[in-house]
This record gives sequence, structure tokens and C-alpha cells, in this order.
Amino acid sequence: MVAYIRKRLLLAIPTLLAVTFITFSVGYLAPGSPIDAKLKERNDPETRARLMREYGLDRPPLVQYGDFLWKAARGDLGTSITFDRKVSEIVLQQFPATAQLAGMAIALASLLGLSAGIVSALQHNRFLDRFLMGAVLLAVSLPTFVLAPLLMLVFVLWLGWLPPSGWDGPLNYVLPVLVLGARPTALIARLMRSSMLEVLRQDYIRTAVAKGLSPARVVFRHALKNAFLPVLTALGNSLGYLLTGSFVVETIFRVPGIGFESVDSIMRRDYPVIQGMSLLVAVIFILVNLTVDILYGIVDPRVRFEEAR
Amino acid sequence: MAVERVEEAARIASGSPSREVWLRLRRNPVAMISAGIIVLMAVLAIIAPLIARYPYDYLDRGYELSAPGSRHWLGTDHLGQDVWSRLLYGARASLTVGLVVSSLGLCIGVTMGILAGYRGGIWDTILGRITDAMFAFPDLLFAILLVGILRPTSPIGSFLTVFVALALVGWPGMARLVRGQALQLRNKEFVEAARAAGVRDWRIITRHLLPNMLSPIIVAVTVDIAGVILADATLSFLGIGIQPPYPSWGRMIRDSLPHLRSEPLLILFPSLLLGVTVLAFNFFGDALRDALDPRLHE
Amino acid sequence: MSLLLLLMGGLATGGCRSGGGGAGGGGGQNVLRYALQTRPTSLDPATVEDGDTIDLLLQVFEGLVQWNEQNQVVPNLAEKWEISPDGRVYTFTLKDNVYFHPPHKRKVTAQDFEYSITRALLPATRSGVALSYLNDIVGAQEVADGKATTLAGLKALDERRLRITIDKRKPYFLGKLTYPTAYVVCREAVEQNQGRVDEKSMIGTGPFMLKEYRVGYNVSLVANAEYHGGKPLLDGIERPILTDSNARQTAYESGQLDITDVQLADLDRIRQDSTLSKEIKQFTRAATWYLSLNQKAFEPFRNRDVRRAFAHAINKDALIRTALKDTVKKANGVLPPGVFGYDPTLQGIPYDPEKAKELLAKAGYPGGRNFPKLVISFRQGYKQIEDGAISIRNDLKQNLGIEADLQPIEWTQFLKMRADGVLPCSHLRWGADYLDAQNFLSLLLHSKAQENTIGYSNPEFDRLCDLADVEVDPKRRESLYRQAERIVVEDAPWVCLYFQSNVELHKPYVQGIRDGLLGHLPHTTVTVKR
Repeated sequence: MVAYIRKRLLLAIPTLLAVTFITFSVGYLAPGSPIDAKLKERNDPETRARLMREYGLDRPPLVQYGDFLWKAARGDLGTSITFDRKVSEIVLQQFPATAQLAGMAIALASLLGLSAGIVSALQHNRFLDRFLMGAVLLAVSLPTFVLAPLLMLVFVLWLGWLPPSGWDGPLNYVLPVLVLGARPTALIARLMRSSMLEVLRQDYIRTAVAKGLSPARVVFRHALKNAFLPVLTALGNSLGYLLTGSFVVETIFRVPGIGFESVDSIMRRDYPVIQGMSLLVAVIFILVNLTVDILYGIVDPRVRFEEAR
Repeated sequence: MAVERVEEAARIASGSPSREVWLRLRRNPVAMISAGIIVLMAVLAIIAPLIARYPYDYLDRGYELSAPGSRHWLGTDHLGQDVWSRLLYGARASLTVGLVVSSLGLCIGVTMGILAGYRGGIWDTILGRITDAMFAFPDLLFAILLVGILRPTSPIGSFLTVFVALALVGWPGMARLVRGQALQLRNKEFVEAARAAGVRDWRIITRHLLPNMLSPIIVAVTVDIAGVILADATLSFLGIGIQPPYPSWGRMIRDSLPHLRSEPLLILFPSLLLGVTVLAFNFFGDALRDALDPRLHE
Repeated sequence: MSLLLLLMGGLATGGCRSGGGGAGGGGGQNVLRYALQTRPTSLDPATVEDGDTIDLLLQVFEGLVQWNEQNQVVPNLAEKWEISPDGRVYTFTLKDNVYFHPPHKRKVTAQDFEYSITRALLPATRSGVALSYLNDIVGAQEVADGKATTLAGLKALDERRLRITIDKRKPYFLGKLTYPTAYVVCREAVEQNQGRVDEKSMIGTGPFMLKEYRVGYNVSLVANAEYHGGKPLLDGIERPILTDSNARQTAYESGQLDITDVQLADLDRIRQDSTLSKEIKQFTRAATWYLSLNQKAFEPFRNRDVRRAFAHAINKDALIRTALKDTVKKANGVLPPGVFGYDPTLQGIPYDPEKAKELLAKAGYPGGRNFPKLVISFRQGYKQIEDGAISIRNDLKQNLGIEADLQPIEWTQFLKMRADGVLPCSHLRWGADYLDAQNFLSLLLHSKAQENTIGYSNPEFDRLCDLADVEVDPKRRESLYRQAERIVVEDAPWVCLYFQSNVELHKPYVQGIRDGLLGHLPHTTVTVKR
């Protein structure tokens, strides 16, 4: 297994290179630069050129990319051009809130999604199944940016149950977690349902039931474990959405996280921050997926590590 | 998000005769209602110019924010644009984006997936890295920067940009699904037999591989369209969707968001259409999956 | 729901309900709370460029002069000044009772200004704005280019006297010193912090001091008890960073904020609400919104008749009524009210669709036929800018038969493209840096002006501006600018649309907000009695 992990980590290097290179080239090709905002609606080509030089943005693109890689390899992600702050500092300050938010959303999604999925599968095509799946889909057919203000209006302004915005205490967490968790919940519920349905129809489960084991026992002993595998993969994959897709939620509920930071840095063309954020997300994504695959192997020893990518 | 849906689809066994599937679908009322809604929306979108009562960009000066009535069936927005007409044209935008992007993602995804899964080896390694990178990549970054690079100056240009942006982010899910299927099928007896008989790769792919992976792909696409329509709404929220004043449901929702409390109808209509359509595609996808899975019907 | 709460309880410890009081940890009774709409881009007065951050820095840093509620330039850290007969040498005498914030608590000297202003210009400070505001000072260019480290035109004569020499007579020069690039920073604090001004070295002389800065979350200021103008009436200021406008509105209505901006789309509701309607406050700003017709990038705009046809075709009243809910004043000319040179009698080019059609036909495009494809660009992400553009597009289509495309562009990219002069037609704003006609006419439309990126040129206009810029007699100067403005309005390189006005909601217990045309003044007189 150590060899497997080593191999996977080695394979992560080209992935990271690809991510940073794509980010860099797309960022470089898009017109406008962080310098332009600094000039404040002024046409001052001289100052612009000087600042480009000061920030090293006048160097050939490949040199800039090389410089970024060289520094990143030694743990230096550079400095935000807009905010004149170390990128690593921004990450350290703002990542915890996002991680917390994403963690709670995943926990919520797993809890609600798994239970809804299992119940639905056991009640296949009966009322409860239809109802749960309908409810789950309804929650995701509204865009986040509508759901969030709507909930805010109801729970904050009309009912007064929750504080309006901020990230100071548990009551602050309720709405952002609910909104961010809605889509993964729906996903997991549906995935779990179809996965359970399939497992329930496998011969060994049928045999177990036929042998007289209680259905509940079968579900929790055998079916659940096997049905859980694809859900695990999906959880790993939706992490990317939770980390950067949280920008709408972070903006509306004033969560000081990186979701907002990354979108904002793109709008400002703050290259070092864009690079740093995508690198961070990529690293987390790779680590989480590696963990998922290892867990996969533990849950289901039939999966040989070499085969998984 | 497309990925998980695709993986869900991948779990479905393949290879039911199409007639049987159709019969099963017809017996499912949810599937029929969903299909009906989708067809209705598509028809409305196609004949939009015939049944719209005003051009989508006409400002009826002096009739801003008017309530639903005879002059404006569903009322007007704060600029005096006719909501009914804009909803119809919005259906055009939203459905087109959904269909085109899913098809684009389908083409790229299937090509890449087959290359990686069937050819394997170095193809698999390279494409594996690329899909991984695309997965690990913040989607929105791509979309925003693409709009910056392509800098669309016309509504058509902005359509194309949205297509490209969403398709580029969407294909890896499909590629993974197809790769997995191709990997499985590659070692099946009939494929190995064909190969041993000297049948060309291209023929094997089109005759044996593709038909056998069709049903999970179809399901994935149906469900994906719903996701794309929602993604377009998010792009509109960021102000980088289809160019104003051309309406899409997403844009209409965003535009009426500040009116949420004073003119709730403005946000209700497009949200309703968007929600119903997304639901219809999802339910239809589900029903299709059930119909395609013979074991569910034993 | 209950499951969820259970889960949260497990994940987070201690949960008191933070009702109205705490917008980010701090905040007692006598604290003013209003949102920062963006994250502060800089805490350094030498580099600050956006209005929201300037409003924050104004509470902490100060300069020689400041504008007042009557929009005049008045003494601040300078007690008085003398101007040499040729108008080039300004000798300031500093107040004797000005100290930096603790822990430095040192008296501010003329040398501090020498240091601060030079620092703003030095390349290492990386300021994108310093040269724009300080370029009149002799030697500024050399310092900015890195060819000199001392600013030739800036000299501390002794501890209390500072001499500034500028390149030629400029009656508006003092106005430029009200911008933060000329504010004083504390040398020791800055040098201890590797030359940077951030939350660790935000030491000024202003009525408030930095208490806490949580990046991306909030800024807290606390009153400076030893403020030279007397301790401010507030205990502090809380600025939660809230970038979403709906969220700001909710926060205000639920009592988390004392002041907020208003989304115009929501204004009808607010006007009908019995409580909120009484809390509406409106502030005019010295800024003009206009449609710029770029002759360099779009050939038909070289024809004056085409430009005038556009000016006649656009229904400003309808735009103001629908997109801006009648909150602004229509612009007949370039100069907003309150700016030196403003001409209240100016009629401008009236809305006249018939005349517009006629002019367009005369220019060779009857009914809009053969008119090349036109794209109207504007800043992305702001509803009322987009609504304005939609309204303009509709007028051009209905009245001239010209079908334009709309192109929202991200801010950084928009700025670059505007500066490069490649946008054929854009809907944008110019906000005054100082309240003088020079800041609009000579700076933006003179054929030699760097900011004139739209290819407008009229020798008579240039001549009048050149004369007015250095004219001593205010009466004559005003009359010269007014003549120049009439020329440019008739030539129509810009279609001036309206003068900006900001709508805010203030809770009734907030008293003593002082406002000028360039923004709110520092909150020294504000009280909050909740």
C-alpha cells in the first residue's frame, strides 16, 4: 500500500503541473491585469509600464511561469498584487472558514442523503420514495443565488430566528451549511438509492434474505457497505464544488473563506492569488481522492490498488 | 457536478432492446409527464417569435412594472420589458445552452473516454492526467477567464462563449464514464473475438463498444442537461452569461432578485419554468434509467 | 432541521445568539456600523484607489488640507498657507498640536510630510495613483521614474513650515492635496514594517485608529481620544465586509447595520414602507455618467452629425425614471453642480427623435441603414449601469434604427480597453478628484490630454481650456470654462446622461453625518443613540 500511495503521489505531480499551467495560460491570455485597477480610471501608460516591471509582469510568460513553479516548489506562493499580502497568508487566514463550511455541508449531506437514499431504495416506487426523491430534486432545481436570499428573508427577517450574516457562532452556520449542502445531499440521496437498489438485487443478498436473515440486518450488514462505495467516490468528487462553488454562499452569508476570494481574484486578475487558489484546490482534491481510493480498498478488498487510478 | 450523475448512470446495466424500454417508459406516468413538459418547453422555444407579443428587447415606456393584464399577460419588469415574451425567448436560450453544451460534452467525453479506455497505455495516462487536472480545476475560473479572452461582442458570440466554457468544464465526467465502460467491454469475449478476427479498431468501436455503452450515456446526458441549465443561471448571476438584453431564465432570475420583496411574481415565473424543466429532465433521466435496467423489472 | 442543529451543536462549541449588536465581534452602544462593500484594496494612503477604501482611510489618515461640507478646501493639519504671486510656491504652516496615534504619539512635523509625499511617489511604494495626483510638484516625475530619491519641489523649511513648488500656476492644486496620496504617515511605523503601510503600521493622525482587521471579514476602528480636533463623539466604527447587496439590505433591516446603500430596484418598496421611507437619505456626488463616442475606434463618430443624432435620440428622462428611479439629476453638460465652472443655464442637446433621424440621414445613414455594427460597452456586474445601457440601446433602435450590441466587461479589462481607446462606445462615469472644471474639461477632452482616448479634438476648445487652466481671476476663469463646455456639448463627443447621486438608508438614531460632493467627511460629529 505504501508503494501505491507513493505512486499516486508521484502521479499527482503532472496533474498539478497541468492545473497550474492551464490556470497560468488562461489567466495570461485574458486581457486586463491587476495593474489596471491600481491606476484608478486613469490612462497612465508610463506608470502602468513601471508597475508591470515592479511586479515582474513584463517578463516573458514562460519565465513568469517558471518563476512561479520554482518558488511554489519551495513553498512560496508569491504575493497578491491587489492586496499586497502573501498568498500563503491569505490561504491560512481564509481557508479554515471554507473548510469548516465544506466539512459541515458534507456531514449534513452524508447524514441526510444517505438516510434518504436508503429509505427510498427500501420503499422503491412507493410513496415515500417518490416524495423523498421529489423533495431532494426540488431543493436543487432552484439556483443557489435564489435559495440563499429566500431562506435569509424567511429565517432572518420574517421569523427572526437566525442572525443575518457573519461567521461568529453556530447560529451563523445554519443557513450557509443548509444552502451549500443542498446539492450534495440530493446527489448522495439519488446515488445511494440507485446503488442500494442494485445491491439489493444481487444474488447474494437475495440468498441471504431467502435464508431467513432479517431484511434490516441484510441492509446494514451487507448491502450498505457495498452500496456505499460509489457514494464515497462521488463525495470525493463533489469536494471541488464545495470548495470553490461556495463563493455564492460565502458572499451572501459573509463567510470569510476562499470561495469568494478565488472568484474575486479572477475578476481582479490577481495572478498569484488565482494560481495559489487553484493549486490549493487541486492539492486538496488529489489528497481527498487518494484517501477515498484507499478507503475503497479497505472497504472492498477486492479492489486492487494498482487498478484504481 | 456532472461527474457524479455520470457515475450514477454508469451503474446501470446496458443492452435492453429499445422497444421494451419504450414500453416500460410508457407505463411510467412520471416519465410521460416529464417528457410532455420537455416537449412543450421545446415547442414554446421554437415558436417563440410567433407567440411572443413583443420583441424581447422592447421597452414599453410608461408601462414599467405593470401587473399581469391584457396589455402584458404576465406583466412587465422595471424597464418595461414584457415578461411573457422574455420567458419564451429565455426558453430558447436556456434549452439551447442545455442541449448544445451536453452534446459538446458528449462528443469530447466519448472520444477521450474511448481513447483512454480502449487504447489504454500512454493514451490512458495522458488523458487520465488531463481529466484529473480538469476535475481539480475551479470551474468558474475557466468560465470567467474564457469570457475575458473571447470577449464576445454579439449575442451569438456570448452564446458560443457560454457553450465553450461550460462544455470544457463538463466533458471530463463523460470521459470517465466512457473510459470505465470501455475498460470493461474491452475484455469481453465478443470484443476480443472481433479483435482476434482482425476487425479494425474503428469498426470495433462503432459496432461493439458504442452500442453497448449507449444507455448509461443517454441517461447521463438527460440528467446533465438539467445541470447545465442551472450552471448557465450561475454564470448569469456573475454577469457573464448570455449578453443583455437577450433573456435566459437564469438572467431573468438574477435581474429580478432585487425585486424579490416588491415584485415576487417577476422572480417566480422564470424560477418556476427553470425548476419545472430541471425537474422534468431529472425525472425523465431517472425513469429512463429504471426502464433501461431490466433487473428492476423482474 | 433538528438533525442539522444537533450536528452543528456537535461541531461548534458555545452558541450565544448574536442579535443586533455584534457585527463582527466588536461594537458597543456608541459605535457606527456600516458595511464595506468590497474588501479594502489597500490600507496605504499612497496607493488607495477605490472610493470605499478611501472612505475608510479618511477616518485614520489626514493631509494638509481637507474639503468641508460647503465643498471648499479648508485647513486640516496645515493651519494656514501662503501662495507666491506667480502661483507656483505654496508655503504651509502646520498646526502645533497634531500627534500620531499611539504607540508612536509623536508630534507631526514638516519633515513627516516631506517623507510621506516623497514615499508615495517612490517606485518601491508601487502606487498607481500617486503621480496622477502629485505630478504638479516639481521633480515628481523624476522620483516616480526612480531617477531621484528626493522631491525637488518639496521642502521642510523647519519643523512647522513646508514649501511645495509646482510647475506652473494651477488654481486647483490645493484640491489635489485632499486626496490620500498627500496624507501623512508615520515614518517609524512604516520603516519598522519594511516600508509597507498595512494593519501593522496604520498609524495616522485622524479621529479614529485601527483596532482590528480581519481579512475579508471586518475592520474595526476606535476613537482617537487625543484627536487634534477634539475627541470624536463616537467610540468607534465597525465596518463588516458585506459584498452582497441583498445581504446588506437584510442586515440593515434586521438592525445589524446603522447605514446602508440601497439597490435602486428595491427603492419602490422602500419608498412605500412606512419605516424605511423615513430613513432614506440622498447624497449628490460630483460625477457625470455619460456615453462616450470614440472617434478613433468607430469611424461614423468622426461625423459630428452622427454624434449629435445620438445625443438627440437618447431619452435621458426615461432612462432616469426607469433605470435610476428618478434619484438623479439630468446632465445637460459635462460639469456636475458644485464643480467650479458648472453652468446651470446650459440647455444641452434636447431629446428630439425627429431631429435625430434627420441628422443621421444627413450623415448618410437614413433610418440607420448601412450603419456599421455598434457595440456599447460598460462595467460588468452593476445592475443600474446595465439597465442604463439597455435603455440607451432601446432608444437607438426605436429612434435611429440602429441595433447595438451590449457588452459588459470586467472592471480591470474595461479600464485597460478604455485607456487604450479601443472601445467604440461606452457607458461610463467620470467622478471628480477635485471640484474644478479642469478635472473634467482639460483633463479628459483637451486634444493633447492623455485621458482623451476617444480622439476628440477642437482647437477652439483647447485654446479656451489652456487659458482657463492658468487664469487668476475666478470670474474670468469660470466664463472661459463655460464657453469651452458649450463647445464640447455641441460637438457631442460625450452624450452626458446624468449626475450621480447615492441613495442610502440611515437609522433615525444616527445623527451628525457630514457630507461633501466627494463623499462623506470623517465621522467626527456623528452620534449613535440606539
